[in-house]
Amino acid sequence: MAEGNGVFPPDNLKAEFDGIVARYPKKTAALIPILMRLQEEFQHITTEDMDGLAAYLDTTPAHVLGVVTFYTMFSQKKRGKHHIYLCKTLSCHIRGAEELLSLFEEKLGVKAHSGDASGDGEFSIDTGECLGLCEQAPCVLVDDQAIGNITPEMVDQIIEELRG
Amino acid sequence: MSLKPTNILLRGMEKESSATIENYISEDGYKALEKALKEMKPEEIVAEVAKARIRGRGGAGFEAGRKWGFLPKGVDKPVYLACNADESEPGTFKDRHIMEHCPHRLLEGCLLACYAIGSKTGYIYVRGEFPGAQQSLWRAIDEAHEKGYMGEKILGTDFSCEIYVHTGAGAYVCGEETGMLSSIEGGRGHPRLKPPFPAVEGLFRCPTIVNNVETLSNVPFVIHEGADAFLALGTDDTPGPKLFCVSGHVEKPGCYEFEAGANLKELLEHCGGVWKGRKLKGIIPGGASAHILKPDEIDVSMDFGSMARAGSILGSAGMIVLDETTCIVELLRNALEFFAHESCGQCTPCREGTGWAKKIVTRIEAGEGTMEDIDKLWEVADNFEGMGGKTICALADAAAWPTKSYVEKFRDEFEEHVRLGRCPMKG
Ligand SMILES: Cc1cc2nc3c(=O)[nH]c(=O)nc-3n(C[C@H](O)[C@H](O)[C@H](O)COP(=O)(O)O)c2cc1C
Ligand code: SF4
Ligand code: FES
Repeated sequence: MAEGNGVFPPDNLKAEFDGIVARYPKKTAALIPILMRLQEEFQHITTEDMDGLAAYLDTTPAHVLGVVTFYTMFSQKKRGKHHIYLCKTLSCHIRGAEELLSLFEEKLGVKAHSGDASGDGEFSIDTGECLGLCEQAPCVLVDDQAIGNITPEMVDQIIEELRG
Repeated sequence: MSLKPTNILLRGMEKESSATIENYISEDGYKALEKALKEMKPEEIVAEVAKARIRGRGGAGFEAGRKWGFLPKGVDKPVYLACNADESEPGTFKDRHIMEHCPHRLLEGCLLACYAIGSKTGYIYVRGEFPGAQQSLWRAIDEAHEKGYMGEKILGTDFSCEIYVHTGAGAYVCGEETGMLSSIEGGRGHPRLKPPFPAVEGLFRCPTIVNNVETLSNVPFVIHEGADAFLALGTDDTPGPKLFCVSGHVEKPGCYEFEAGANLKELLEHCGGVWKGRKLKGIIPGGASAHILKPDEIDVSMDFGSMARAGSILGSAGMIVLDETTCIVELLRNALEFFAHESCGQCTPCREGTGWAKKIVTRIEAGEGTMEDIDKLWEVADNFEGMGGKTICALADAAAWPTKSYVEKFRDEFEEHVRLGRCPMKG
């Protein structure tokens, strides 16, 4: 359990999760929205949470695991506090995404798709498929913030601002 | 047809307050809903939408009114609306514009659709990478509740309806309508064999209407102004307003609203032309799945029929502009990396074929391919093109179309990679 107290959902999220479940005629439909919240809160999905969530939604841990591994936004390894998706698809690719990726990797000291976070736990990075921000190519999505029209010169500043 | 601007789908977008309910109401927002609930029967809404011939803006161009008419009559099950806001076709960002700037237009469209099809519940499936659009919609949903446009007994009538945002979590195939339904139900985004079509058996095994964001956002106009006003816009093939997403090597990328049937060449000029004064190499007109068009093929009207006659698709109307420095082999490698990554793996021709094609093109790009590889690449794609029922969904076709068309139209570039043993564009 992300909270470590063996209860699912954790107290602070119970009301919210019950509210999500209430939107659907079948409990399992709440699975992906709840996993998204867990990923956001704890930067990863733990085995304990998958088991707890399976029981909470009357499904099996195997089903939950199958879903967690299918979608790219879930991670079983702990991501950084800020997770960066850098678009590498067509419109971004032809406007310099590759160069940006090496810059981000170098400055953050962490590789895309390694599943690792930077030493201080602040950052992790993955390339992603088209983020639907192509008019601002090249672009990234960090947490819930879209940043577009990125030039190599902006990379330092973006990282500094995220560090806060 | 030349460019005729319309101000319907993204009306008021330039204002800071465009997303608020106050702004929407000041622009006659929710008048269509009021008219529908107080003066029209559900079947009259379906008839008006059918008369307007709104062709599905998700890419396939199927008429919304006809789809709504497929709902089985007299079934004792709930009916659902599932709005497709997955928008993950590379090069596409129009639905995001609607959701971020004009969320109430979409909500009103959803409410009208629910009333028409006898549904009390609608889900808007928004991809996980659109947190801004999700927040904008949730805020709009709260506002609509406060003003009595959503919830129990809407505007004092017997119609009750809830619309929820349902988040995706990163998977292109969830944009395919049955993959989306699997995802809403809490599963992997696996597309399902059709029939049964969603209208007969969809979400939670109940009749379900699936429509794209832009499709539904046209409904308030059709009901408020009438089908004839809608038919007066666009072309006979594709009536109404249309959003065009322009990106790539272009001076002014962005989301533009014109009558459907806008001329592609004029649209490019409207966007300032190819960037940096360079020459045009080609345009991918309808998202990454579309067949590429060469510079002498872009004098074409952007509606479903004309684009098909031009040998491509209108698709999601995501135009990617390519300048003369673009390496087409590299571009195809990039596109095939996308499709191979996004294949859900259920059908062997799609799973194996996209991976195989990616390998061949990667080899050619690296200068390690042979002339036979070029033919092989085309053949592999031809083989996984799903026509003839080899695959469950159309993702395989979506991967085959760029592959075949890039090879056919830019064969010399592929051959040059083989001859030189390297990429000719990269010195
Ligand atoms: C691989 C694939 C991806 C798709 N992605 C989307 C999408 O992101 N958004 C969308 O509206 N339709 C998408 N579609 C089309 C849907 O299956 C469906 O036709 C559409 O949502 C129906 O709505 P409409 O009739 O209003 O266009 C996709 C289809 C395929 C085969
Ligand atoms: S065609 Fe491809 S994406 Fe579609 S169901 Fe088959 S394997 Fe999955
Ligand atoms: S291609 Fe990068 S956001 Fe669409």
